[in-house]
Amino acid sequence: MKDTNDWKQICSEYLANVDAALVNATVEEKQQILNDITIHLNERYHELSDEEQTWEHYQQILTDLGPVEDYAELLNEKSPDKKKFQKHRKAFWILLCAGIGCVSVLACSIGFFSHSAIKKARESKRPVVVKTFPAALDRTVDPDTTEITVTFDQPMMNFSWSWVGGGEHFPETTGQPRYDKERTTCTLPVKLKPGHWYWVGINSEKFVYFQTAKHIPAKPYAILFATADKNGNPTEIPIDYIEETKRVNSK
Amino acid sequence: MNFNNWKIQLRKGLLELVVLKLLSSGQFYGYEMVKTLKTIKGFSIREGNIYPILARLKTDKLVVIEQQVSPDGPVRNSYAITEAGRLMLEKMTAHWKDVIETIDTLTAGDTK
Repeated sequence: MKDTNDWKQICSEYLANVDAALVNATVEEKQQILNDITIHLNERYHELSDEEQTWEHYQQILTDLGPVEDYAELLNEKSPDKKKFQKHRKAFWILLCAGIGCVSVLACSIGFFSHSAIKKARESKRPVVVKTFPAALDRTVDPDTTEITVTFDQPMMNFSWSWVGGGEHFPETTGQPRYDKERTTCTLPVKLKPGHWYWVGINSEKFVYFQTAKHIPAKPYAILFATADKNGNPTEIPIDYIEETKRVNSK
Repeated sequence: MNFNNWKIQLRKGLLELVVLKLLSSGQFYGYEMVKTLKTIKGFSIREGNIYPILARLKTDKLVVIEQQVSPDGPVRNSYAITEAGRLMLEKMTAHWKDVIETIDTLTAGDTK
């Protein structure tokens, strides 16, 4: 059954996420990419039959387009034109900051705003991890587990995530991450090995794409776990990683 | 080393070459290009990957965009390669051939 509202909603969310991810793009590049993606989405949508116009097919179209981080990654090389633009932008920022500085001093002096109060208010709105699977520090996870999930205390921005990690202690992924319809739980399809420990970061200092629709990043969290060995016994995890996980998750 | 990561890095580097090569054969719409690239064996890309590449190629003046209005559809962007794009493609192709030759030589050495 046709549900154009669903379609419009997920398209606008995806485009907003791409827009937010393209921090280093010039205005022209950003406009062009968003325009191209809009046309692309339009064409994919018109290829769907009436029966295919479902939430699952819409999700598939977005999955085929790929995660929003890809756009930023593929644009990370600075072109000479962009350097020129950035030179002017520097002057603009200096003037803007000077202006903001004057306004801030004035605001502070009359006692309307306090920087720490704003920071505190924003901090209180940050999404936090309320549940993960596997649970952090579990050392007997079934090696046949095919999905890692993280649940937040509030809806998150769709198609935006920062599963952080790499190397032999980051799980082999078998597909694209996806959110549930409520956008509170994100799932990462994986393939695990028995008797092996894994570190899966949920955001970090540098990567903050687990965020709300208002671009408030989730507090970092670490899912450190180990799979049971072939005999079902727990697997050791290095003590320094356990300490680091406790430190990250207690913040 | 993770094989998947290596494949992704390789694919990124080759995307610009492949897009320019494709455009050297004529004008393409963005989505039309995605569909063509998806048919190339071993070069599976995510559909959105092409758009930042096209934006960067345009910034570098290697491609130009022409907006085309269709009476029964939306405005679409048609991409064409520029003269600078053709020169870049020649350089990239020559370098790519060198790389292939080197790898072939090394591979031949392995099988002796």
